[in-house]
Amino acid sequence: MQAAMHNMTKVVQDKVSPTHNLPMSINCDGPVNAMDMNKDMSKVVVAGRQVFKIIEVEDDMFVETSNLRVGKPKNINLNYSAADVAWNHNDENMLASAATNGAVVIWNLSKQVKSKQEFVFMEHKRSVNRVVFHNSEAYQLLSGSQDGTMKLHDLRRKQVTLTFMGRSSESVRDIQFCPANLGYFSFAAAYENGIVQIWDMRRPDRCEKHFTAHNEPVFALDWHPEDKHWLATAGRDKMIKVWDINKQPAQLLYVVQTIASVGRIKWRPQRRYHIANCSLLLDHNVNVWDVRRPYIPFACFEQHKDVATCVLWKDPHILLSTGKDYMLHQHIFQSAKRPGDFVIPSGVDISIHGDVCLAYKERTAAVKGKEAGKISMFGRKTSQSRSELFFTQANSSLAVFQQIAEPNTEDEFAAQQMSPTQLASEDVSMTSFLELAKKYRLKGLTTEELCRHNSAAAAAVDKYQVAQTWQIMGNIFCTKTSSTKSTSLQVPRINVTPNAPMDRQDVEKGKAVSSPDNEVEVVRSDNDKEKNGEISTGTDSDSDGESSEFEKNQLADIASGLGHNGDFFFGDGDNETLSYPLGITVQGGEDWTQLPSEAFQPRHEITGPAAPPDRLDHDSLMVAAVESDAVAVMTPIEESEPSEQYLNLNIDCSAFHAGTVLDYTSTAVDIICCFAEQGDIQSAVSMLIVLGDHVRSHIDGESQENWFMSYIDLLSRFRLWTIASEVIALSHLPQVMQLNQSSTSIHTACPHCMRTMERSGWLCDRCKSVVNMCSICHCPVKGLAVWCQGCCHGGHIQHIQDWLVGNILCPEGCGHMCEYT
Amino acid sequence: MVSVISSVDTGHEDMIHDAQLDYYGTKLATCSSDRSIKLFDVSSGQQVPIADLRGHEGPVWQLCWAHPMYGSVLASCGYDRKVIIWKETNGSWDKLYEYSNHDSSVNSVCFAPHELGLVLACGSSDGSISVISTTGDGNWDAKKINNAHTIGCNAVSWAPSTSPNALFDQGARQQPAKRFVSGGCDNLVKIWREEDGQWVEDQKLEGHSDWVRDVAWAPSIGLPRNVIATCSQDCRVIIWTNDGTSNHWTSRVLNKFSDVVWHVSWSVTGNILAVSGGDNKVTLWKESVEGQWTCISDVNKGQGQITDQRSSSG
Repeated sequence: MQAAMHNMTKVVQDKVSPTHNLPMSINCDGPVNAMDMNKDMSKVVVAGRQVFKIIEVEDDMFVETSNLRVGKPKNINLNYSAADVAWNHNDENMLASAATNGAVVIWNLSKQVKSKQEFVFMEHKRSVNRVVFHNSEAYQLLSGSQDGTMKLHDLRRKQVTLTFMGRSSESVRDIQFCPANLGYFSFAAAYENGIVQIWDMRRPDRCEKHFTAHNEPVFALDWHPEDKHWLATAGRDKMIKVWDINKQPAQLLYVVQTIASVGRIKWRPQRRYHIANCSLLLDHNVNVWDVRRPYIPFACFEQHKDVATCVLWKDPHILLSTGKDYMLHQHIFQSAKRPGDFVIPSGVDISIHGDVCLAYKERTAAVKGKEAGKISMFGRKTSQSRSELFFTQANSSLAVFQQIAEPNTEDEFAAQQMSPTQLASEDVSMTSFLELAKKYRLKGLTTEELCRHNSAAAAAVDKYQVAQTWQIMGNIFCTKTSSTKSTSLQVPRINVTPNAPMDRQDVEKGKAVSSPDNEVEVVRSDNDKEKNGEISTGTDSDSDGESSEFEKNQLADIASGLGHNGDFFFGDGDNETLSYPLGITVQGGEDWTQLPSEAFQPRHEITGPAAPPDRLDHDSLMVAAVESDAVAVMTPIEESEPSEQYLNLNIDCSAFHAGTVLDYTSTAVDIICCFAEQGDIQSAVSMLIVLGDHVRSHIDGESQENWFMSYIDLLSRFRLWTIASEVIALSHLPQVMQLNQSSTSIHTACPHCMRTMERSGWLCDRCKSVVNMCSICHCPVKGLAVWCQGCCHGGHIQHIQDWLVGNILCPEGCGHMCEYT
Repeated sequence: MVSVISSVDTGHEDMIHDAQLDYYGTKLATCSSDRSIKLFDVSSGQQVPIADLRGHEGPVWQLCWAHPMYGSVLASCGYDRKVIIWKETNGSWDKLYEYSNHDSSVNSVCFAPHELGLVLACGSSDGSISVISTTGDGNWDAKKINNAHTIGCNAVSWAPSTSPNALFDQGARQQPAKRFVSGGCDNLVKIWREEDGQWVEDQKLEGHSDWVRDVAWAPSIGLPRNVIATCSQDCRVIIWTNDGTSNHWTSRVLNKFSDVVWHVSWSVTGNILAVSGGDNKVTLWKESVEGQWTCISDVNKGQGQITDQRSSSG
């Protein structure tokens, strides 16, 4: 009575403060196989091989109230070790346990003596797997056993009233009565052969329904608490299946994939799609699944240190579980781990071609709205939390993005300032890399010709900075060599004087003529002419001062190949500046002709490089400009306006006058290193190869090797094997060259035993015989041998040739019509 | 311009967690909660399904392609605590090796640079990191770093094998340095180094205030420095740099996003970083000459639109 009162207050308390539940646990002093709760859920019985206890569920702790495993040690027999336990739904004092020796034991808690054992049924021949009380008939107990039978016990008459037996004598693993409000007489049974049967208690002769639920043993089943047609089954095949058993045959509604064999399942009250499970092995967690999302648990309780054996819902928010780790846990749903919240919902990758591939979570607003409406309709109790909504609507999309270079529809001047997106496209997309890798020539011509070719190639893919750098390189090294070579013979010498506005205008006119298809160009040239005129006056006065300086874009910026087409500022002593849109260089560097030479006094007559006669003057002017650039790179770089990504270079033109012999090697080395640092390994390596001996000794071998390896790696990623091989051959680095020399052996196998021939190519270690003998003369072949790939026979090339003149079949006599190409 | 060239109908039944393109950019692998891995041939511009790999018993979290010198080899890891290495032979994909020595979900797999052999690092929710290697004769060896990250390890990424330190150590030619970076639920980023066959913690980088979700060591293309990008639940992406000559790492916050950042991924040349976040957007970032990181394009995943973040600064 007192206990009842206590329970009453507890119930009231629960109703008043339902959120006061705490996670709690108790050690049961032994592995627990099963548990059950009394009707008002205030007590739990836990049972195992060495455990049989009643534990009271307090608000904040479990309290062990009685131990049923009492008596003299010699009296404690197998009846005390339970595989399953059940608490009568109607009689608070009645318990039933299933023993592994086939006994079904009835316990009466109201007994005054220490041993509460009331009665033992010894009807089953083998161990009993499950005992269940009928929901409303207090004295009806159903048991299912390994011997393949289910027996209905009448506890008042203390005898078995009915025995149910399937057609086969497969072991019964689980039985469950249909919830009282849904079907009074029905129960379901799960068999070890994967069969699930629905029985009617009134018809013991045969089952109502019979279907194969799993391909492996079914270990657990559970009726849906609200929908009488729904039955969940689970088994060794790591699946939880939800069936609509009203359909004929039973229709499979949902399948949940777990990571281990399922030991028990239990629907979550008031949540139509939620089911809890625990596993027989491997997985120690208690998982709660939303059957609509079958791959990832909705919630997860990770407290158990060994496999969990039994789960019970106290209410939708409180879950009890027992485990082989001796523990009984009360889990609060709120504190569950939600694996769905921790998954990474997106994936991103960039391919070598610059395509961005992206998988991302889809959110369908329409469905959300619909579900939201549902929430308001059903009120708070059945409302699904938002997280549940998002949880079940997990789906992903996968998209591939591509960086596409914007077609340059604007005029060339607009191209001066490339749009950032275009920058991006050049950065990410590797098409120009591919183009250049194929078009670059690395050998076979003079250094200068190679540079010129590569410059054109780079310009063709809009890599103006790289193109210009190639030209610079070409000119640096061709001017040095051209004086010694006779190439200058073809070139008439021209004088470029500082005060040569006429010359320049001629040049510009020539330029304008050379590009008649571009009217804008001509107009602009005219504009520049005026500016140049202004400047030239200043230059006339200042150029003698030997200290005119000019500012220009950082060459490094050019070298970076970033695609920036900034302005060149070319000032003189009067701080007059002139801007040059270098980005409009289209081919062969005609635009270089616009670089005026008046800012400094050329130190000598410039010998033009080998060039077509109609472009002579351009080229020679270009050399002048290039030289100035080259010197600019030699001087220390000073950052003045970092925010605008401009670097101004100061150059002392006195170098032109003072220096008699200028060595540009360090400049070239700097440029190459600069490319490498910018990540443009292609330019760096290509220049390194082309310039070869000029610069090789000035760059640290280790970094050279790094560059080569990186470039070769990139080339091979694009499957440009031939080019990679050429690069390897031209590398002049032993560590790189050996790449082409490794893995060049061909391994052969013995034609008789198929064993690889390790020691030599002609003697098989296993067969102890000489292989590949000539089919004609039966001698081992030394020197040239041929053999038919169809039948593996062959021999001396001369012998086979002779043979084939008059025959078409194999000389070995195998009947094969040998084919030689 | 950035534009969606295609949306791939993967046929996955649940969320996709990773998509990886192979070394040549011709094959695309995706993995999903639905326990499957799907492979597509993307070389033609179309996505042609070529295989559907089933073997995981739980959601598959991450994929990694091996270098093609080992054949078509793909590693996957998942909730079922397994790491599976798949290999294609004559057009059919089979399990090459299955590693199941983790006690919890395996979150990340990453193949080491090919110079080190077929070596794989796996980070797990059990807090440990395994380094699996094979000698090629079918025998696999695993070294486990226990308690690498308390609560769990979320991501691993190998350092490129051309160690910039080679310039620094002017000694004899050494074995390529074996290093990788990992990020975990302890908000830490750690760098691991192999020393006499044992993995030791080289660096502990503190900067994030929540779980580190992804780490990516930039490919080094002849560059003398190390760059690592990390992203976290704290919505930030941090770029860690090391000059290659000292043990000092400097951090710079790339950006603080409005939502969780899930992934960071470097382009092949290591100069573009793709960042994908919880707002269903992927942004591309590039370091300017001065070391500033700027967003160069912004792809709205849902619609495939882009917005230019940077006004005309060129």
